[in-house]
Formats: sequence, structure tokens, C-alpha cells
Amino acid sequence: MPTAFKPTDVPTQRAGLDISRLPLSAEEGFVLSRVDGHTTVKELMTATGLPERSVQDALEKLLRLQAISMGASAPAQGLAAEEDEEDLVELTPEERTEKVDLTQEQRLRLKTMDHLCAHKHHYAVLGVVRQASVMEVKRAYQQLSKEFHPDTYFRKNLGSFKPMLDRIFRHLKTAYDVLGDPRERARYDATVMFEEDAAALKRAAELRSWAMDPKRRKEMEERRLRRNPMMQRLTRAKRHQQRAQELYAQKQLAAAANEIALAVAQDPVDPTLRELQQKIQADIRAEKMTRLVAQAEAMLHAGTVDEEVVQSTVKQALELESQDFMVYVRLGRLLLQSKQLKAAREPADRALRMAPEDARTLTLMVDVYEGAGMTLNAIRMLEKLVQLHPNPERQERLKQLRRQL
Amino acid sequence: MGERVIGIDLGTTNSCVAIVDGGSPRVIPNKGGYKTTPSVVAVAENGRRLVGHIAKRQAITNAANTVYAAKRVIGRKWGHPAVESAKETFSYKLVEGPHGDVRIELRDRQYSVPEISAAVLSEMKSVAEEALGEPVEKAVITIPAYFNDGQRQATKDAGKIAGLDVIRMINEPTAAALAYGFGKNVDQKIIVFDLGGGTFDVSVLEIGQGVFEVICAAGDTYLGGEDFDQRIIEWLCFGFMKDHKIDLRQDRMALQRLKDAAETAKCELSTLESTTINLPFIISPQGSSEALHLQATLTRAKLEELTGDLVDRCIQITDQALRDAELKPSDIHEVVLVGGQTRMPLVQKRVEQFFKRPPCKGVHPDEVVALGAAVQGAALLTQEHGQKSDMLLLDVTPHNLGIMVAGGYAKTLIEANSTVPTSASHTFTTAKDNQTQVKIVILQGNSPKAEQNEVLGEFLLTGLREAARGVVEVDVTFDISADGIVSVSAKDKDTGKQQSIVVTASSSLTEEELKRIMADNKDLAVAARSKEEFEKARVDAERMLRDLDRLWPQAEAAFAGNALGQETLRKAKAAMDKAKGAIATGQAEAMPEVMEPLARTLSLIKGAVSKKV
Repeated sequence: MPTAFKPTDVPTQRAGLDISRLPLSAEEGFVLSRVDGHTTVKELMTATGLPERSVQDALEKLLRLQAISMGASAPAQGLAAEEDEEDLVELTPEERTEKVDLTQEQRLRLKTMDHLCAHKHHYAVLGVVRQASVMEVKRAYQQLSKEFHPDTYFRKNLGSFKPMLDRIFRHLKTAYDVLGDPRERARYDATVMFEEDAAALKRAAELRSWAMDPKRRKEMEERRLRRNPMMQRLTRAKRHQQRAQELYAQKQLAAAANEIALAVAQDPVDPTLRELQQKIQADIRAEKMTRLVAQAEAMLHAGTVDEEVVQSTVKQALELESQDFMVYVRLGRLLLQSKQLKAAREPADRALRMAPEDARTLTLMVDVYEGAGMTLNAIRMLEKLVQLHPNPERQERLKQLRRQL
Repeated sequence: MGERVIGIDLGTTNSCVAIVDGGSPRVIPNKGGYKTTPSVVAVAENGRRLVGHIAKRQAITNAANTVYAAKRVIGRKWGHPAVESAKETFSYKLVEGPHGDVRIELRDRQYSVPEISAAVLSEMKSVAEEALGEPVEKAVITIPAYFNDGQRQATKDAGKIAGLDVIRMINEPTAAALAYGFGKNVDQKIIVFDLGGGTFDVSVLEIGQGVFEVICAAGDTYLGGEDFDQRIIEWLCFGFMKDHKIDLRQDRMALQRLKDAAETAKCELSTLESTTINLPFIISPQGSSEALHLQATLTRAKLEELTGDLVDRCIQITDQALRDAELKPSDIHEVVLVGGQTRMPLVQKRVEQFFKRPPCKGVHPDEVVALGAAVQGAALLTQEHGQKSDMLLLDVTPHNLGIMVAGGYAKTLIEANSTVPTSASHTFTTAKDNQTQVKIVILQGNSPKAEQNEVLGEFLLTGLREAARGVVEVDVTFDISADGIVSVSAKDKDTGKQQSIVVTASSSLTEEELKRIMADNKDLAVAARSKEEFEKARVDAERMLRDLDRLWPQAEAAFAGNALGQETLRKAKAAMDKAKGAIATGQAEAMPEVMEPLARTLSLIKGAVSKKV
């Protein structure tokens, strides 16, 4: 029977723990990855989406392996709590209904102040800025003392709020003693990490280990992702993009297209992702077009396939696009062969625009003009071809055409 | 508001009662129209109890049954120096009570000191009730800041006997400050210089936004106006002895007359340059029917010569108090003089010289304390009634509080001048192997030696697990409430077992008893948890030793050919050896003792070397 942890218990990872060496199941590893010293057992269940029993068992094993330590829910003293929601103090039902000489407002005020004392630095407790003068510190202390000195509730029945009040006043006094004395204050400032400093240091440390240790880097990344859902999406987008680029380089276009689609879904704003996606999609269209053209050529060459099937394949190919002019040249040829002279004009024009001086393009063009009876045009094109790529055959043909005219 | 609270200044020689009326405090005069009432209680021949002026008036004829200055012995143990000196000088008889306390014998009946003080308090209560025309139950009573817990408790007991609900006891100088600052919207540091009949108190306060915070308090419980009287009495007796070879102090009635005459003369010299003391028929020498007369002329200059050292002592204490608070005389915005003795021109002159400013003239030294008590009472009462008071007093604890540790030392947990309420914890451990119980002896006082402090109480924590010495850990927690009530608890860290005590009454232990307890309970002593503190001290000590070793050749050169220098080196060597010894043998208890000389030696050597360079 495993030890049942209370829902409010807070597990903490042991410092310097090498997670990879632990004999853990995936589920246990998953639970461990969500243990950060703040999340309670109850929150772990929500965060992992695992049933209570599994989380309890996993935690028990982790505890036995000394991978984690289990603390009561009171957050660590000294440093400020990270989330602002934690500062929203609420009265428990018992505190609300306790028979004491205090209004609900006073109760909440006491509890909030007690919370501040336990979790915040002296400046926050006294409610002064870090640059506050000794005089300002003193004024704040005097004002707060009037509210929180036990004499303010002289001979009142305070019940469970009594120790709270005592704690608060003592803490106020300590805070004043420290901040009101320049020497003590300097020492305090030097030893206490303030939220902004703490955050900066943490960022710096993260960057350092980011650069050094890939495993740590991943951990950090994960931790950060857990904190920031937007970041999480961006990083996922980056990961998909990277994979897409790799696949694209390997000409695995379908897989690359899939990855880049995922990337764009995570981060629809990034223009580089869009560009890559368009590039990949264009390549896919071109590839398909080439394939269709080759298919049609093969069918035509075999001569066994129905004319109509060839026609529809060519038609499909025509709807696609390619950067390769040869595809258009071949298409033009296909259309010429099936006597579709008018239709052949378009791919021939495309090929001419893309490669205006290529012999095959020009030859196709000549054939198209000639087939369509546009002899003058055919002559002009043939003249160009002869000029660029002279050969006796073409010269002979040019003479013939001129003669026809 | 049906309920009223009075403020009572229970003085050594005079008492005063005040109340807050219509928003401002005022003194309530007694039936005779006097604002103060003598703190004198007598039992007349017919057994009637007399209090105040009437008691004072019959004092000469009924010296042995007239109690004055009871405050000097309240809450004191039999055998205490204050009691010893009172036995010699008081005209009434002091005897030892059943619990080692002090009793006063009047007409064959013994009275406890709180009973006598209660008589004065009920007189003040009835003064107030007659003037207000309604019963009064609640009171704030003032005490000297330097009163220890026993004296405070005894005074509180006196209030109870007098039928008063003592809602708070506040220190006299603090009360004076409250009266001074009442209704003023000031933001300043003030010093209250309170030289009363029996005690001298000095307190520094910071006032701002209605908060009166005591920064530090110091004083002397054996220094007051009566010491000034005593000097005059001695001077008179000495002169009489020279002339007649008779010691007037042997005669109680003569002593009482001398006392009155001395006080009168002293007061007159506050305004006059010279006065004549005339006591006819002061004594009848044995074997002679003719009584002798005493006649003497006392000048202000002579009085100042006789009592100059007492004033010096006041200034010294004031100076020390300021130093402790890290203040200079010039930091003080106002000096408030309290107590009849501050009327003496010499006192005022010395105070003015010291602070370089004339003392505040706005307060009446005899009434200000009672007024302050009334102010505090009213403030607490408004709080009790759920209204908001705009005034808050933050007082301090005047003594170190701690427990006795192995070796007969006192370990302080709460330091003097800590703002109350406060608390402190420290972990102790066993002093012997297999020790299963520890005795927690609660001490109050400023001496590092346990036996030189007052014992407030003791209790036993049993059932500790058997282990080698220094293993079992016991947490001791001290707590002082806003009322100044001390409670102490000890907790066994292993078992969570806890014992606690609320210090409610003086334990009335004498020094001998304490020594006996210490001898009996050697096996029960707690030890300061050695390891942790030892390690801390060791690191520091070793650092200093390294520095010293490094500087040694230069020091030798610096001191060469200099007899005094050689002596310094020898002493330095001794200090270093002692420290090394303590480190080597791991004596945690010895560390504090070796650290101080070591630090001193280091700074000395550093100084010498740097001068040479």
C-alpha cells in the first residue's frame, strides 16, 4: 500500500539529480518532468492528466529512489512567490466563521499581511520602494505599527488570529530595524534576491547552460515551455520547420510539406515558414506535373491506352505548374502528337518565356506554328533557331518553309 | 463612556493620579487639594491604618510604624543589596518572609511589601472615585523602566490587592514621554531624564505619527532623591559625631527627623543659596537628662559638593544609553526632565551642559508620569471599545532574558531594549552523556555569569532519549507579550515533547539558593549547542590567527627594543595560544572567551604595524 500523499503536498526534485540514470517508466518520467517545487500533488494530476492512483504510485517510487523530496504546501520562505495569484489570500471557512472580535475585512487584512510577511522581502512588507529613504521607511513602519500592534486589539478575543498578529508585528519590527539602518540595509540588499534580480540571474544561468549542455538545454527549454504556452507553440513551429527543411533537402517533399504545414499551424505569422511552405508546395506541384507528363508520354508511346485517358492526364498536368521549361516542352510535344495544335500553343509559349533560346523550345514553337499553318511565324522562329543553333537540317527546313511561302 | 481608566504614578516618595477627561489628561487632586500624595503608610497606636499626608505628618512621632519608600524593596529578595541598605537606613523594621521575600513589621504584625503599596494605590483609587463621583476599577500603573520582572509582578499584585484591574504597567519615563507628546504632532527624538525619589531612569524615544517608540532605556534602581537626602543626613550625622561622639543613626526617631530635615533643606536649596537646619532636642545622650540640639547651615555649594558624584553618575548613564542607541547628544530634539530631584539646579545645569540645550519647560516633573499613564489607559480603552486610537506606545524590555547553560553561564535569548512583543528561539543540547532531563532556568539580567542575574523561574524537561552529550536537541523559545509577560517553552526536537512556563511571580530565590540549585542540578544542565557555534567561531578564530601569524615578524620588528612592546607581544602570544588550545580541544564554551582577546590583539598588532610602515 503506497503512502498516500496529501493533495497539498509539494514534491521537489533533488538538486543535482541525473534523471537519465533513474530506472523509470515513461509515466513516472512524465510525472517527474512536471515536478518543479511549486506544483502540488493535486496540480500534478491535472497537469499530467494521469489518474490519481498513477500519480501517487509514481511519486511514491520517485520518493523511494530519492529523486524527489516531499514538502508541506508552505512555499519556501524568503524569495517571493513567482505567481501573482499566490498573493490572493483568502480566508478559510473556519477563519471566516470563527467567533472572534474581528470584522471580515480585518480578518482578511491580517491574513494578507501575514502572507506578505512570510513570502515577501522587507520592502514589500513595509510597502516602500527599494529607493525609499530612511524617513519613508520609518513612516511606513509607524503607520503599519498602529494597525498591527497587538495593542490595537487590546483585550479583544482574537482566537487563531492572535499568533498571526504577533507574527506580523514582529516582522514589521524586523523589517524596520533592517531597512531603517543603512548598514543593515546594505547587508540585506546584498544577501536577498529581489524578484527582478532573481529573474535576471535565472535568465543568465539559463543562457549559460543553454550554450553548454544540450541535455540541460532541453530541460530548460521544457521548463520554459511549461511556463509560457505561446513560447511552446513557437518552439514547436521551429522544430517542425527544421524537420521540414531536412526532409526538403532530401527531396522527401510530401513529408516536408506535412512538417511545414504543422509549423505554420503553430505559428501562422512567421513569413519564413510561409515562404518555405510555398516553395515546398510549388515543388510538389512541379514534381507531380513532371510525373503526369512522363505518364502521358509512356501511355502514348505504348499506344495501348485509350486516347481519352492520355488526354485527361495531360489536362491534369496542364493545371499544375513547374519551373522546369522542359516539362512544358514535353507537354507541347504531347499535345502536338495528339493533334491538339491550339492547346499546344500555351505550354509552348510558357516554355519559350522560360527558356527563349533553348533549341528544343524553339523547335517546338516552330512545330506548333507550322502545324497551325502560321508559316510566317514558323519561319521567323526557325530563323532564330538557325541563328542560335545552326545546323544543316534546320537550314534545309528553313529553305523549304520559305519556298512554301 | 461608563468605564474610566485612571493613571497612577506610584512613586517612591509621592504618588499621583490622573485621568483623561474630555480628550485631555488632568491630575486629580486629593481632598486636601494637593496634586500628589505621599507614598507613606503608617499604623497608628490604635491600630488604624493611615495613608498619605496624614501618615507623613505623624511619621516623626511614630517612626517605627511608618513605612516610606516601600518601592525600594518591593519585589526584592531578602539578602538583596537594596534590602540590606534599607535595613540599615529605614526607621521601620524589615524581616525575612516565608519565601525569602521582604516583610515589614508594624506593631507586631507583618505586612508584605505589596500590601503596603496596595494601601497607597487604594488611597489613589479613592481620590479618583471621590473626585469623579463614580467607582473606578481600571488603572494603568507606572514603574521604573529598570524594574525587573519580580518588581513588576509585585507591583501588579499590589494593584490587585487594592481592587484595581491593572490593564497595563508602563515605564515611568515612557509615560512622561506620552504626556509630553500628547496632542502634539511632532516627529522627533526625545530623551526623558527621570530622577525620582528612589530610581534614576533614562529613556530615548522616537515620536512620529502618534507612535511613541522607545529606542533605548537605561537607569539605576539605586539612584534617586533619597540618596541625595542620605548624603545630607550623613553629613549632619558626621558633624554631630565630631561634636558629641554620638551616632544619630542608631536612634530611629532622630533618623526620621534628620530625614525630614534633609529633604526640606534639599528642596529649599533649589531656590535659596543657603539654609539652616535646626533640630532641637534631637537626642538625649545616655546618662544625661539634657537633650542635645542639632544646628547646621547648609549652602547650595556644599550640597553640590556632597552630591556631585551622584549627578555625575546620572550623566554617565545617560551618555552610555545614547552610545548604546548609537546617538549623539545633538540628535536629541528635546530633553524632558521628570522627578522631583530634577528641580535641583545642579542637575539642570549638568543636563543642559551635556545636551547643549535647555531642558523642556512644558511639563510638570511631579505630574507628568501620572498624566502619561492616563493617556495610555485611555488609548487602550478606546481600542477595547472598538474605536481607533491615534496613539501607540512601543516599549522595550529593559533586561537581557536568557537561560542558564552548563558552566554557570547565562545565554541571552532576548536582548535588552528589544521592542515588545517579541520572541526568540535557540537550540540547546545536553551537557552529559545519557542525560534524560534538562532544567531550564530562566534568567533576567545583564551579566554573563548566571548567578549574577535574577532567576525568574525554572522547569524540567524530562524524557529525553539517551544519547551522547550534544546529540539530543532542545529548542527553547522565549516570548514577551505586549504586557511584558514572559513565557518560556522548551521542546524536545526528537519527541516533540514540550514544557512551558508563564513567568507570573517572582521566584524569590536568593543567591545561595541559586548556587545550590546549580550544584544540585549539574546533571541537568543544558549546554549551548556546541557544534554549530563552535564551527562559526573556529572559522573566525582561525582567520584571525592566520592574520596574526602573517603580521608577527613585522610586529616583532615594530616592538623591538621596547619593554612595553615586548609585554604586548607576550600577551598577544598568550591570547593566540589560548585560542589555538580551544580550537584544538574543541571547547565550544571557551570560544567566546578567546575570541574577544584575539580580536583585540589583532587590531592592536595591525595598528602597530601600520603605524610603523
